[in-house]
Amino acid sequence: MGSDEDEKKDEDNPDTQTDVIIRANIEAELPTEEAPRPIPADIDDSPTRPIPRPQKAPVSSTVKPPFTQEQTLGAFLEDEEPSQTIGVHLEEEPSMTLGVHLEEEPSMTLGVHLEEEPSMTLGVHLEPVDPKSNRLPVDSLGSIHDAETVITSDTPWFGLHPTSLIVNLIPRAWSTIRSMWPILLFVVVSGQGVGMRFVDLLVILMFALMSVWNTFIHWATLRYRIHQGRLEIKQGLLNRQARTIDPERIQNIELVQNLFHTWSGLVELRIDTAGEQTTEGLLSALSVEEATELRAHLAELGSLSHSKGEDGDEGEVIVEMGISEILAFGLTQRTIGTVAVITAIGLEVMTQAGPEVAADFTVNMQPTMVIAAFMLAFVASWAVSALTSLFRYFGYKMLSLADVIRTEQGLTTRRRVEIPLSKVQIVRADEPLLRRIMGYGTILIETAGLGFVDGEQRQAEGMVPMVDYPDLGRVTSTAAPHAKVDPWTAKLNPAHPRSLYRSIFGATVRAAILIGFGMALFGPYRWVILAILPIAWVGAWLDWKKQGWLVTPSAIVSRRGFFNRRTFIISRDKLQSVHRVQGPFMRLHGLSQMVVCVAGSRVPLPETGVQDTDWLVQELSRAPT
Amino acid sequence: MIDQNGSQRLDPNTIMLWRMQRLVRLMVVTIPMLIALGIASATTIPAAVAIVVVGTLVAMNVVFTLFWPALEYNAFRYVVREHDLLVQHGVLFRRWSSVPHNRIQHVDTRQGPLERMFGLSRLMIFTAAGSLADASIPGLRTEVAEHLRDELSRRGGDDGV
Repeated sequence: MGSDEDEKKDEDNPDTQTDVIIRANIEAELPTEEAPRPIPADIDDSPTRPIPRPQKAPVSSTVKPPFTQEQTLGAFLEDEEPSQTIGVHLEEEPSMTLGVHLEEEPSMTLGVHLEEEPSMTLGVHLEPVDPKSNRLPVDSLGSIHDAETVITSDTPWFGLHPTSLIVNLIPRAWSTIRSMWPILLFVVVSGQGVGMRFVDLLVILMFALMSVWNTFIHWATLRYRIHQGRLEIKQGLLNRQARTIDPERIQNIELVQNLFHTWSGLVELRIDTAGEQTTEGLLSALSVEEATELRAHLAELGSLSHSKGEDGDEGEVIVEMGISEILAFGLTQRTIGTVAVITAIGLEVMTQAGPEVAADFTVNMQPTMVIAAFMLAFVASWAVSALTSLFRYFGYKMLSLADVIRTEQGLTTRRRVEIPLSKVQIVRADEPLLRRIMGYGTILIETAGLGFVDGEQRQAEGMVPMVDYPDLGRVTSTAAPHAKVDPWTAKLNPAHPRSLYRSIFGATVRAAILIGFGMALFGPYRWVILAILPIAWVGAWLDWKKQGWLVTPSAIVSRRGFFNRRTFIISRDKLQSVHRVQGPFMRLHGLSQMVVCVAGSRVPLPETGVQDTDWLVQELSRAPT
Repeated sequence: MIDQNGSQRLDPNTIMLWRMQRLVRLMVVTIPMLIALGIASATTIPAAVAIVVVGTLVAMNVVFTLFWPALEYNAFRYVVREHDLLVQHGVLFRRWSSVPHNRIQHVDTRQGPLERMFGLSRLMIFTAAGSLADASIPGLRTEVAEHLRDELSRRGGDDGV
């Protein structure tokens, strides 16, 4: 479809390239045949001139004098007798070759213009060899002939690959179903197992049709192009939407290939800018070549460096993950919450199975059974999460190219994320207790492009699931090279001693609320719940003990948490604003808290005393050097 | 944090403005709600108790509305420094903010009907950090606010995104 009229990147595209060459040849040859003929007839006094020059000279002479000359040419075309014009031109300048063409086939003139002076008209947009400078000629376009400006401003649009109709259908149908599941649920439940009624069938049919229709409209209306150094995407039938993305503003690019994509040789391209919510540029099905080309083009223009490796073999491998590590990641991922949900669902299913079974169950319910159920849920949740993590992170690899970090992962759905180092806002290291005991940590790389993908918010754009403890510093400093800090070897400043009171107070309040609920819910064993209190206190103490902060001339580090230890590393040149917060109780203790904001997130430092705070305020609001 | 000498204060009319704004809110939202609550609870607790409770709450609200703005006004300070803007405010919860000029994405001035009566404007400063204003200065004379807005939004530079 769109790929056929692929004129955008002439340099790479064989079709148009040969096209140009052929035509150029014709023109190069035609004049040589014809120029000699008229010249001897009309002019006698300059015999040496005509033959060698006509092909070469016009190029240079039309480029140098500005556009007035062409305008006269254009005028001649319409107004005057061609034969006369030729005569005039012939004598004056060697550029008569143009004139010859005009006479024979007026429609060819455009072709002549386009090919002979690529630096001025079409060539400017179509083959930006030097992308940075390509805006200059655009400005000078103002003086060019009208007809030409119309042509130049009209970079062709490209569409999605036709196979996207099939590739997109299933995910689309799935998302339609997911967005309307309450209605579907209602349909299923109201069916009461008597069999589908006609109305139900109709509703389901409607969903199917809607998915097909959406997919079709998406394919039929989505168009994109790179125009004047910007990526433009438009789509929609009734609600038209047009986006312009400045390549300089791209926060990250993601190439996703699910099974259907792989089978049909397609790929989905997601482009994030620093906007608020959705992925700004979403091209759901491009052929691999188109996508690579577009990516390379964007890289030339913008923040993604011109990294050499298109096939992903070049660049330094920072992290690789084996299967055992991937499974370990999955096993350490799930929390109590998931288990609770699974148990609840299990009980719910049991009640659905039949009232007498449920009644039986509740009568016979022993504490051992509850514990067994919990264990079962644990195992099930572990298995599921190990499996999903295997699918998601299989073959994980993190590479460092010139100025870009690239991660590759996935078993069935391959995912390749590229983040320009200049766009990294925060590097965060999560070390949950379990993973810490096993000697691992997780690193998340955030840019300002944090957004929603497929309806769920992404935690971070770049993620390194399992990093060996000794490697944490190396990986973070690869991701945030300007920070020049390694929180795992550097000594962090502790939180203020008095902030322990506050955190214990907070823990007590939270525990009290929990205990209140527990007392109300549980029967004879209710006093066991009081055990939460000492646990909360110990937790608060550990949490306080592990807090730390560090401000260097280039970086800010903040660490908090014991059960889920988090370390934030911020390069100071990304700082958006600095705040100091002090509540009444904090004032009582002479404490305050610094909060630093970068694009996309805010990071609180541990609470600090008067002296430290004063220093921090001074330091963080100081003029950048 | 901001020293008393170099800092700017809000326009003194702001106190009156805040009082009126909050009184309006009190009349329209809070008091009707409290009265409704009192009526609703009159079935379970004795009417006299309900009246007393609601009455105290309303009185406290009114007092609070009349006195608090003056305290808030006293707590508010701002300075435009060479490379950043400092804002400090809050009576109970103190907050001090520094926003470097080159990180400012855009600056708004806003004016509600009451503010227009007083000839005051709000200045809101946005950076790339979030959807909420990173710093806002309420109660500036409109000319001052507009001047500040133009001055702050003019300084460009690397926005760090």
